[in-house]
Amino acid sequence: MQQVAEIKSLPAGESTFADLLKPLIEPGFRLALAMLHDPTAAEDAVQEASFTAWRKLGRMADRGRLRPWFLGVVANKCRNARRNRWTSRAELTEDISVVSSEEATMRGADLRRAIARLGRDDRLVVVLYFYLDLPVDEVATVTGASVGATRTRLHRAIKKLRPGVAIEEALR
Amino acid sequence: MSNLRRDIHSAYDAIEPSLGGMPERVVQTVLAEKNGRLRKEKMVYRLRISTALVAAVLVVAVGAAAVITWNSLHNNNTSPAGVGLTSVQQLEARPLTLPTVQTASQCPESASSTSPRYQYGTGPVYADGGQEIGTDWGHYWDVIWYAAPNLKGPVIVRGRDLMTTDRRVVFVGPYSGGPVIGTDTAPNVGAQHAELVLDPASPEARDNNHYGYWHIRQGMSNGWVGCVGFQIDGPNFSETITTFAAP
Repeated sequence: MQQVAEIKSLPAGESTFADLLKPLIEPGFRLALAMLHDPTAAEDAVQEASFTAWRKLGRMADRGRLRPWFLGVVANKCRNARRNRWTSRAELTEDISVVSSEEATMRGADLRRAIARLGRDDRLVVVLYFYLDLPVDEVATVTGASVGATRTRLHRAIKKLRPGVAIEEALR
Repeated sequence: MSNLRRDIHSAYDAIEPSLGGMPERVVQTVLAEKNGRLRKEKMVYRLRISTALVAAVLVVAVGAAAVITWNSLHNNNTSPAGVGLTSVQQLEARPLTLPTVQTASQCPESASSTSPRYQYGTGPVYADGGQEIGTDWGHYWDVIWYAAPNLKGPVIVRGRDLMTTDRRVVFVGPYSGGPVIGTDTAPNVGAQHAELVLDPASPEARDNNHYGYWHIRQGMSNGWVGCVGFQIDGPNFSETITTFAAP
């Protein structure tokens, strides 16, 4: 039931594949990094998503849907990576060395921890909307949820991250 | 730009390492290893084919023995441990009321969830889609099924291709139940059951909202078009999910 419906045919030679995939690697990696907090695991997730893309890109009819589709694949790879972590009883941790001013570092770390404590779906929409700057309808496409459900998730996540903040102000 | 958006950018930008040619590296790795992966999969397949024959015989024998045993004891039905067979049989007695469509374009997609948290379902049972796995037999999805925290009694899930009446969704693994309707010799599959039988009192785990959830592998044989429906029956409810997901 993955979001690969309506995927039909498109030339998928190696150069076409490279041209289509390269621009997606950076947003894919940023998504994976924000979801996993581990650059090695994030690159692995993007790499695995890229193998999936190679297998399925040839059936992609609408290039306009390529980015949300690929990000959805990356999100699924992250989910599996996190599931594997759960089975080994590991928790999401800050594995990354931060080099910046002390106060900004603390503030950023607090916010990352707060986002990491959100439920998986809430965290995904927060990362896609606020960090990857995707519009809500594209976030909905990535997550496979309706636009209304996506807005609800965003509102709930904002309330958890910034209690008391005006939702519409935060959504800008 | 809102403060929250700016803060989130700053928080993650601070930990984002340089890509350092990652796009090229990722693409090159795919192009370099795709054939190797295919060869490896074929080699593994060939290595396994001989043992798969033996395994298939064993699986069929074990499956047949299990079916015969359950037939003699429980009128041809299986249910996972802990789920009351009588209650399950009562749910199984309910007829499937899923619609049948003539073309894929007529597929009645009612899959949008009424919950902001889960992808499919109107409650009290929901599902999230997951990774797709292809085998020689067909396609499987690793789906997560959720049950509301206060749900009582067993739940059975049955599904079928809505463009035919005889192509059923199969469930594999410890939570599958009902009659064994097939076998797949691919790794981590085995006996295919016609039902998913869940005990909401004993889920695999519970999420932050106390919904019980189970990781389930479910599949459809090759040749299906993509329009699929599920009927979910519990003691006091019957729920339907219909969706379109091209193979």
